[in-house]
Amino acid sequence: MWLRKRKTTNSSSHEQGRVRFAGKGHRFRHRYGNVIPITELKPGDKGIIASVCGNSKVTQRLADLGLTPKTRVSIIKTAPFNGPIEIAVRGSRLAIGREIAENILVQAKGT
Amino acid sequence: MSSCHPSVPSEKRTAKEKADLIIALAGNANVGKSAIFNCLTGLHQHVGNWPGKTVERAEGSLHFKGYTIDVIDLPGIYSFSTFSLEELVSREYIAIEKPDVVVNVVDACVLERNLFFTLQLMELQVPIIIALNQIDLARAKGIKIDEKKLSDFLGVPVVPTVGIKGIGVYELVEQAIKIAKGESEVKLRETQYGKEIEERVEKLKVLLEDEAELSYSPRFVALKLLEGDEEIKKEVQNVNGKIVKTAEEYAKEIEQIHGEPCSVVISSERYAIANRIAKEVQKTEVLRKMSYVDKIDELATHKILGYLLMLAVMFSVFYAIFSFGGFLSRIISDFFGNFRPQALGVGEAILWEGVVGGFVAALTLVLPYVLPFYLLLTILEDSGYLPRVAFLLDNLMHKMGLHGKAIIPIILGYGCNVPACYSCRIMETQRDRLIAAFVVTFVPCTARIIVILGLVASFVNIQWAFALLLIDLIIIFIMGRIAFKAIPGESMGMIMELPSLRLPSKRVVVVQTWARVKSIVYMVLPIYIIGGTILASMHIAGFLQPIEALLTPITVNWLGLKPIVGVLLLFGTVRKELVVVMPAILFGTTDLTTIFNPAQMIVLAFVTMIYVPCVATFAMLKREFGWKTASYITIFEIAFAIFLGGIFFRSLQYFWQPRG
Repeated sequence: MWLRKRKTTNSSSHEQGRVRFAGKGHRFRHRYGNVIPITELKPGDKGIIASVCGNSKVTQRLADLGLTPKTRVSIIKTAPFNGPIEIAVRGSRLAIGREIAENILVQAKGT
Repeated sequence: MSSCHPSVPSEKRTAKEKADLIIALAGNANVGKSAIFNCLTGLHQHVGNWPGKTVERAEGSLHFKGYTIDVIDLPGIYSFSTFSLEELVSREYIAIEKPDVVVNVVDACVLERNLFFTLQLMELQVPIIIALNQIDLARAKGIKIDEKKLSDFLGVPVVPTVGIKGIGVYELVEQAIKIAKGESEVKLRETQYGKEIEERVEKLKVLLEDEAELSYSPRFVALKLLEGDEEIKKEVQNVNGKIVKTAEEYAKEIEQIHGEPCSVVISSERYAIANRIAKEVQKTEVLRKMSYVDKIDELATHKILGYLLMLAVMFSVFYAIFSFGGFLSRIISDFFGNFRPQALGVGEAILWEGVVGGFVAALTLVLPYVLPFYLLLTILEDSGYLPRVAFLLDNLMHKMGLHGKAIIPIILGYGCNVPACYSCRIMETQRDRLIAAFVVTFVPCTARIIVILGLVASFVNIQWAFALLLIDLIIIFIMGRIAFKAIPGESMGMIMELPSLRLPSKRVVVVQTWARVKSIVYMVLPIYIIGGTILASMHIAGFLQPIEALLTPITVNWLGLKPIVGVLLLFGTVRKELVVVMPAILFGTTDLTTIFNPAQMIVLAFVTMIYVPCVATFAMLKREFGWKTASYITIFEIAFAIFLGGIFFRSLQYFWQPRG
C-alpha cells in the first residue's frame, strides 16, 4: 500500500503543529511537491490532502470526518469576507472555518 | 405518529416494569436515529435537519411480540475518540451498560463516512445490527447499495429503513430480537490494519489480556492506546502503567514509519477500509442535471443572494407571525370580551379573573403567536436551512468569539430559551458554550415576542415592534463581544456537516409543532390560572400596594412607568408573557391603551425583553454552568435592563408624541 512506501523526508513545519501562511499566493515545497492551503483553491477546484496541521483535537475531528492524507476533496463554495469554505469529501459536505481550513494542505489537481 | 405505528405497536410503560431487552441506537450525527427512536417508542424526541440535536441520550420503550424493549437514543457521533463529551458518553454507555443490541443507524447517502464509525463499533465487540437509513433519499440521489453484500463484508445483519416513514422498522426490531436472543448469530469481521500496526496491537493485546479488569475488549483498548486516547490511557494507567509506556513507544515508532501522528495513521487506514467496502457495495449513477433542491442550495449559500434570502426568510417569518397573530388574537379576545359578567362578588371576581382570565389570556396570547412560530421554526429546522445560515454567518459570529454554529441556538432561542441554552452543547468548548448561552438569554423567545406584540405591535405600531427586535439584535451583538473579551478559555473554529436540503416532511412538521405547542400549553395554562388567581386575590386583599410602593423608585421614577409594573415584572420572572396577561386580569380588559401610553408600552416591552431570563431558563443555566454563573448572568441582566430602560425612556421622551 502507498501508506507504507511513503518516505519520511523532512517536514518539520507540519510536525511542530501550527503552520501559518502569509497572504495569498504563498507556496512552499512540501514532500508532495507543490502543496498549498486548501483556502487557496477556488470553487470547483479539486485537490488531494497532503496533511492537516494544527491543534490535535481539530486534526482528530477532521480525520474522523474523513479528511485523512491522500483523500480527494473538492471545493464547493467559499463564503465571502474570509468566511468558511464548503468542501465535498467522501460523499459528504462539510463547512470548515477559514482559520482551520488554512491548516489543511492540499496538492492541487487540475480542474 | 399514526403512519409509523401500524408496523410497530407501542405504548407507554410504567416505570417499574422491567425491560426484557435493551436496544441502543448509535451512529453519526443527523442520520435519523431520533426519527427511528420516535417511530419505535411513539415519543417525540426532537428531530430536525441539523447535526447535534440529541445532546443527551433519550430513553423510551415499546412492546413488541410480547417483549418489553427499552430503546436508548444516543447522541450522534463520528468516532469513538474522546473529542467530545458525547463521544465519551456513548462509548461508555455501550461498553459498560452493555445493551443487548446496538442498532447502528447508517445514512445510506454517506455510506463511507458512516462505515468509519461502524468499523469502530465492531472493534468494541458488541452485537450490532445496521439500519441502512434514508434509503429512499439515496436512491433519489442515484446511489444503489447491495445490502446483502454489505452484510457479508461486515458480518452484521443489514436492514434498509426509512426512519421518518417507519419503513423497515418492523424488520429491524425483529432482527434485533433474534440477535439478542442468540437466535441469529453475528460474526463480526475484524478490521485489518497495516502490518506494523497489527504487530503492535497484537503485542499490546497479550499484555492487556493478563489484566482482566478493563471495560473494553483488549483489541479495542490496544488500538485506543496507540491512538493516544486520554480516557483509555487513564484507565490502563490505574491497572498497569507499564503498558501505557509501551504503547506510547509503539505509537512513536508508527509515527516514524509513516511521518504522521499514529492516530491519523489509524484513522487513515480505517477510512481506507471503509472506502474499499463502500466501493464494493454501492453503485452511483451519475446524476442528470441539477435538481431543484441543488438550485435552492446554490442560492442559499450564495455570496450575495444567500444573505438576501436569509434576511427575507427571517423578515417574513416575523412579519407572518406579527400580522397573523395580531389578527387571530383580536378575533379571540373580541369573542371572549362579550362574555364578561358585569357585577361580581369578591369570591366570584377572584375566580372569574383568575381562572377564566388566565384561560382566555392563554388562548388569546399563546395560540396565535406560539403556534405559527413553532410551525415555521420546525419547517426551517427540518429543511436543513439552519446550517446554511451558520455557514453564511460564521464570520459575523467570529466577532463575538464564536463561530457559525452558534447561530443555531440563537435562532432556536426565538422559540424558547430553555432548549436553546441546552443546544449550546453543539459548541465544542466550555467557553464557547457559555458565551453562546449568555447571548441566547438576550434572544426574545416567543414569550417575550408576545409581550412585544401584545403591547407594542397591537397598541403602538408594527414598526416599533420591529425596532425593538432590531435594538435587541444590536444588544446581542455587543454583549457577545463583551463576553468574548471577558470570558477566558479556549475556542475552536467551525467544523460542521452540511446536511442535504430537503422538502420538510409534512408529518414531522405537524408532529413536532404539536409536541412543542402542547408542552408549552401544558406548562403555561396552570401558571396563568394559578398566577392569575393569586394576583387577583392579592389585588382584592390590598397586598399589591406595598410591593408597588417598594419598587416605585425604579418603576416610576427611573423607568417612567406605572406603579403596577413592579408587580408585573415580578410575575414576569415566571413567564414573561404574564407581563401582558396580568394587566388584563387586574383591570378586566384586554385593551391596554387604557392603562399605558405608547411610550410606556415600548419601555415596558423593552425592559421585559432584557431583564432576567425566566425561571425555567435560570434552571437550565444552573444545570449547565452552575449556580454562580447562572446568578451572575441573572443579576447582570436585571441591572442592565433597568439601566438601559431608564435611558431608553428618557430618549423616547425627546421625539415621542403620544397619540392621545
